[in-house]
Amino acid sequence: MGEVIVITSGKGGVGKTTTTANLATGLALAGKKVAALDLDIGLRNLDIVLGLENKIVYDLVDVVRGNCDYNKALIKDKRYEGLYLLPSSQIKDKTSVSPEEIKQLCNVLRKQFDYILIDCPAGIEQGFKNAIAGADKSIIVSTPEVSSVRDSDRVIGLLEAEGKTDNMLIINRYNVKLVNNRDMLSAEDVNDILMLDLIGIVPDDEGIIKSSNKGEPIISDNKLFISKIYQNIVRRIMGEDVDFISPEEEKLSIIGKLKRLLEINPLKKGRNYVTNNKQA
Amino acid sequence: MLQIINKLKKSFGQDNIESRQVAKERLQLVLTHDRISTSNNFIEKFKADIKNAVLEYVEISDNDIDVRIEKSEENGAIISKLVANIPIKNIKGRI
Ligand SMILES: Nc1ncnc2c1ncn2[C@@H]1O[C@H](COP(=O)(O)OP(=O)(O)OP(=O)(O)O)[C@@H](O)[C@H]1O
Ligand SMILES: [Mg+2]
Repeated sequence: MGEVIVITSGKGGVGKTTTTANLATGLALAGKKVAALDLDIGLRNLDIVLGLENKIVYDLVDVVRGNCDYNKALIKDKRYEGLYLLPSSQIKDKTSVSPEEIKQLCNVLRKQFDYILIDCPAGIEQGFKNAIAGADKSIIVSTPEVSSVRDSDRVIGLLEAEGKTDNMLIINRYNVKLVNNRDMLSAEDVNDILMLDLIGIVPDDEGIIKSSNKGEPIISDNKLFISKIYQNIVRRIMGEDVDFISPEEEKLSIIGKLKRLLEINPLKKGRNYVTNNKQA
Repeated sequence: MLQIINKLKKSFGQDNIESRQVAKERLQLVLTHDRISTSNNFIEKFKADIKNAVLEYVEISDNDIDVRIEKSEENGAIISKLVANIPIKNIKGRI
């Protein structure tokens, strides 16, 4: 049975789609069968970042509405064996699917795929609820900025309120120079606040823009440092215990482990009171 | 080069506030409030527990318990504060 993982953030533009594209490609390169689902209805993007925009015939809403079989809508990526995309719809609105329908779809896909990665839209409204409905685990993408960390915290609260407590953290657009200059929250600072299982620190890298221009996820370019970073995240998702490669990452992994051992988790207590949230 | 200049600036006190530290402190404060205000039953549960503890020692009337988390300023710094206002009717027994 496959695992369903949602990639979410609350705040827009922090790198959910980029992360989904790279991790889906990476899992496929590692020999897994992967379905990447674009749940950003009305703002389809995962297709273009993956370079599959010209292959779309049917989309997610067609599948949910029963207009076509999901196998017909899934686009097979010819470059990476095992990678499939279920594109989002560009015209219909977010209310055209329900959380229950997405959950059912995930349960069908589970039987056929090792991993189902869901690209969540920004925000905490209907689109968010749809995206998280079928997920077993979540990856929170946060940049080291106050607004992004705050929104991540909100999203974690909402996930936990739904009983979803298996949440991982990727810190994106990390700038070591700024951190060393004490002008950016360090990965350690961010994780002190969010207290999740940190699975990656992705640097701010010009190459990301070039790769999305070309529609080729950067993880496939083995020569690059950032590709190695994504590959390690992929291995952690697959359950391997991979050492962090940068000194910053190295330091953090040890602190993280210690913390989990000692359960120094004062703020987490506060969250446990959140059992049900009607606002979102 | 820019980094060296920045470091010098910092050590000469021109720009001595480290924005990283400021960011962390502001976040910790705001999240305390966010977490409480977005939780449905945190305050209710908290109130009930406080009331039970207080009832061990004093009599209070049912409606008079007021418990809040407030922001306040102390020595120039903004802090989160637990404020409880619980009028006592009677002390239980002899102390
Ligand atoms: N590590 C990075 N380094 C440099 N640029 C990045 C990085 N991650 C993402 N970006 C850029 O940031 C922009 C937003 O990324 P992306 O579309 O993945 O975010 P998103 O969270 O999916 O946005 P939305 O909320 O709109 O769906 C893109 O231009 C992307 O190329
Ligand atoms: Mg996106």
